[in-house]
Amino acid sequence: MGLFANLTSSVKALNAFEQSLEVAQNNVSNASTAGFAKQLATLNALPFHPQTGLLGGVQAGAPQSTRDEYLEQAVRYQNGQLGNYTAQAQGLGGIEPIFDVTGQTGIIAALNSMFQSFSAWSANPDSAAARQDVLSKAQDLGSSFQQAASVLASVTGNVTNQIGSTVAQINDLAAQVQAYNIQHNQNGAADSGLDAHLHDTLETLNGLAGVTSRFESDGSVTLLLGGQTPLVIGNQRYALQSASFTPASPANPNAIPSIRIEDANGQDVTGHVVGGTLSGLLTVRNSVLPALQGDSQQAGALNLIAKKVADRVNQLLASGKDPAGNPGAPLFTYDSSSAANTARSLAIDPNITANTLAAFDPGPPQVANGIALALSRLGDSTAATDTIGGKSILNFLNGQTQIIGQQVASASSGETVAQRSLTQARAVRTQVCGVSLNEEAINVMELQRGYQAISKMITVINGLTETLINMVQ
Amino acid sequence: MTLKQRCQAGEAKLEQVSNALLDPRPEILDYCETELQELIALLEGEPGDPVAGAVLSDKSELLQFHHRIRLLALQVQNAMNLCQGWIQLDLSQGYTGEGRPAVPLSEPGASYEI
Repeated sequence: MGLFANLTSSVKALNAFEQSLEVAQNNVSNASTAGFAKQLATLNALPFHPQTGLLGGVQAGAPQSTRDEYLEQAVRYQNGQLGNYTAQAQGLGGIEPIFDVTGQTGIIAALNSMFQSFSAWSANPDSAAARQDVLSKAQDLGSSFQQAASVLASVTGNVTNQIGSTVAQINDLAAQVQAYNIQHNQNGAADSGLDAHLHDTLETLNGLAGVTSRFESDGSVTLLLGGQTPLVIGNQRYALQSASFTPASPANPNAIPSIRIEDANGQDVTGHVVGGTLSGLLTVRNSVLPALQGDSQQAGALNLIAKKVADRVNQLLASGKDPAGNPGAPLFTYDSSSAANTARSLAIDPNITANTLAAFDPGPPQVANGIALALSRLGDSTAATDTIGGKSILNFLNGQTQIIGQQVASASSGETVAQRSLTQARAVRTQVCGVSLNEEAINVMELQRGYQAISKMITVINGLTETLINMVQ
Repeated sequence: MTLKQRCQAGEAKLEQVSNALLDPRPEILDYCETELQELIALLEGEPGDPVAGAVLSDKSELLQFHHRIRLLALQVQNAMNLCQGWIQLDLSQGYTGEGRPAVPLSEPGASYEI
């Protein structure tokens, strides 16, 4: 064995261990870097054949990242779920006060107050104070509908702005991934710092929208919105944009348009947004809000209620006689040019006075307080002319309150579960990153057994609770 | 102990378990199992604990407790799915999508011994 061969072997070994130390040092330095996964130094054995001068020893290989893409995906998915539910919870939080479930404020309170004023008027149809109270409560109801419409419009504006800024953030993050691809192409080798930054970017991006990231064989990353719409391919980036959209020949021409997401070619890709903050915002903006305030195709629950109340009150009053024997004047007025404008324009008719309110029903049979009595029962009436979708006015309103309440509860529960699942997924990722694959498998299997045992106990507790619920009357 | 008190104590225990699960380590999972066993005992109650005389407010406490259990069940289900997926991926390593053994590509830099 020659001296030169020995020295060469020693130098290689020293280089290898120096590189191992560098890797360890890099791990320590980056311990708190977002998105960083520990690196493992690899040492390759060298051929040993003394006769031909191959003396074995070790040579440093490329450092391997212990990043586990499956766990990364799990964290990104949960982050997307959290973004979705948080956006929904925030949007719905602005709507919920309009439909106060306690009935102390909002439209429910105003409607109940008006029906009570009709009832008091029916008990004393000639009372000037009772008539004045009817006008006052009707005015309050009109204001209440206008205020509700105004709150919904304000929430709509906020959500629309948030959609715009979320799309801008997605485009910024996609630009960062594009920059990563360009840098990776230029450097040609894996860089742990760059890799950490990339994974941090992908995690943030999935909190905003469900984006599929594919690691290509050339080391670049391809980003697809909902697995379909390209955001980044190699060195190319494709920007998204949000735009207002009203279909051709809308049923309600002045209604607030919906928002859609368009790809770089202006094609509608809203259906490809399947998670993250953007998905939650679009749900609130294009489903929840239109169901209440209407859009180009539907009137919306708030307008349906406002229209039914105004029309039926006016029809009943018109069928009666005021104290001077004239036909009753209408109590309410609203903009009838669009079904989506009723709530925001509902007000008491400027020509009505306490004296032109018609309590007298000319019959037959004639009833002195017949109209006032019919008005006081209008809220609970199930006559076909008084109902909305087969429900009495108050039942329909209560139904809307329940729907909003359920949506708020569902978003809030989803947010809680997603937050905890995200924390869990991050904890599992931290726990398994940095150990050997075999150790990872043992750790995860042990965790799986533990979770299964807990799950069985939860099933028992759930069953016990259901039994108790059935026992309590 | 009234049904309402049991529900309140149970809900506090569920909160503890839910928080503990955020640090998924085998010893923590064992602790959670013990806590849930105690919770089952709490729900089953002592022979003298009244259930039949429970009122409507007790039912609302029970429903709230039930909702909390379902949230915890979802949290655990998510964690189980996460582990299950990882294990499946791990077990499928070295096999093709059709279940046949995947032949490893030769590595030119591999070491030799003579």
